[in-house]
Amino acid sequence: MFNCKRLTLARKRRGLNGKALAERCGLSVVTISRVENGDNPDDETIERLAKALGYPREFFEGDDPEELPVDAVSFRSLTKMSAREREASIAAGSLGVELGDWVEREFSLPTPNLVDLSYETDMEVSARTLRQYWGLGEKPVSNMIGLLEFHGVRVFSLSEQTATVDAFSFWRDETPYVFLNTYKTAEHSIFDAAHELCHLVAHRHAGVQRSRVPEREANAFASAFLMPSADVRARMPGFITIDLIIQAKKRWRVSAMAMAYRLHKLGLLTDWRYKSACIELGRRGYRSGEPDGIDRETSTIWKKVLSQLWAERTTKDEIARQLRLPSDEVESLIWGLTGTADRPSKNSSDRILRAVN
Amino acid sequence: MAMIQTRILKKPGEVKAELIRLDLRLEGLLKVRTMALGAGADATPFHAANAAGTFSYHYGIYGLRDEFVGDVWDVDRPDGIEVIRNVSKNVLIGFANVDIACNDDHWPIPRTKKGSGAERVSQTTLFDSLPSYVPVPTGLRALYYLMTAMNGAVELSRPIVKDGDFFGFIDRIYLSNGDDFDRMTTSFDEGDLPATFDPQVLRKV
Repeated sequence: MFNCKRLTLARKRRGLNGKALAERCGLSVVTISRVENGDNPDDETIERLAKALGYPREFFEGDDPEELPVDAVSFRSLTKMSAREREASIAAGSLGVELGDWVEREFSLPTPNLVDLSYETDMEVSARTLRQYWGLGEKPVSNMIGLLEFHGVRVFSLSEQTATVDAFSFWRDETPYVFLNTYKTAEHSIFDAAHELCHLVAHRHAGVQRSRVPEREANAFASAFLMPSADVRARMPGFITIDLIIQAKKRWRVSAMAMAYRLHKLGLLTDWRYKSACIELGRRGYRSGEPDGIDRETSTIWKKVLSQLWAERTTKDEIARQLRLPSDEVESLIWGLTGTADRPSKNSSDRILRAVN
Repeated sequence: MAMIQTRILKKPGEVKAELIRLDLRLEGLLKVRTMALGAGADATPFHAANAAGTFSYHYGIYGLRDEFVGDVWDVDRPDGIEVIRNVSKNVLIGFANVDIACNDDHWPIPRTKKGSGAERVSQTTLFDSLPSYVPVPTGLRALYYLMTAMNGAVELSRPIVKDGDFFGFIDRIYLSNGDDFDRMTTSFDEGDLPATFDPQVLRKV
């Protein structure tokens, strides 16, 4: 039975409107509209749609996809995003939930362990409270994705080749999800992860807000969470140079610009020095990128899951087949978080024997 | 010409008392020193050759004003000299990068001054361990400079300026010999390994 909601999901995921899809598969716009509104298409139409979208036919025969509560999805750069980009990202969220459900049927994952900080208005306090709750003290976070996963957040990658989509997050029942655009620098993704963590703990009940206040709060939280005030103050001398900022950012695993912002926020850089630092950092290439950046963070959970599956000779294509998804969608949801680990082929003789505890 | 001996204040108690008399704070002046030297260290080979001194000077002046302008101190630039001014006491304070500060045997020389090396050698010989004398000041305003050396040594001193040079000093108030500046070292990686996380994943049977 053809599921029209899955057609809409696939179309949005591919970033197409009805007209563009119609042109791509040689059907009329009216036909596309009718099918999406529930008309049962014939075999040839299904074939054309599947081919044009790059989805297997079986995908359209599944149950209704998980419809994410749009007003509960927090986007990092909401104002910069086009509606098409937003819909494509939310569609990725739906597919991610399906993939997450499949993994949880196969594996036991950490139970969510987040605290509700929606009552707190001072993000410095929120960040410190969560650090205390998780027993982090004042130490730098060595792996933000690992930290989120350790505390039960399901993390997926968004391989969106666009600068306007940073990340988004949402709660589904009692499970928190974060999607990170791995197209960004490693430092940017870490900050995005901390930013989304704020939305999960501080804005859970707020719904989506078009104002910039939650975004500013999430940035302030991320800054305070990644660069704890006491640690920064204790380790930064009064003699702060650009070279020192570049050195310091590596300790707290943030961008040079985020480091400078934090130093300014803590009163360690004056307004004028902060402005000068931004100009000089920009001149050295730190506005558009992160020269001499850190290695990209990877997902421990996905590595473990994939290692186990590969040990069982289950490849990415097999996972995609079981989920009735195109391989590229599974890849974009996972592989941005798994580093450059080589994947074994079906015929590989050097099986991965790593046991999973 | 009436002459007076240069007064050098270096004991913490007398320095503190003099700063209170001038409505200044030691920690504020040291902060300006640090800010100025930090700015100077931002100069790279791509900047002009004198950038370090220029940056340091600009931020030194900025720091003085950022730190002290308020009820007592105002921004002033008499005769083009960038200073802060204590109106009630008619005291002016400018900023100067110098070669050496807080050394009894050496008069601070502006860092950018040409021929400072030769002057330094001759002055050391001339004034070595001897008290120095300068003409009794006749002006109504007392012009001090926060004289900052590269090693972090800093003094607040009232020079006699003649032909663009520091001809002699009426007061020299030693604020720091740079020891506190040397202690401002960074410790980004010392003995506090960041926390690591290993989320547990179990295969369901």
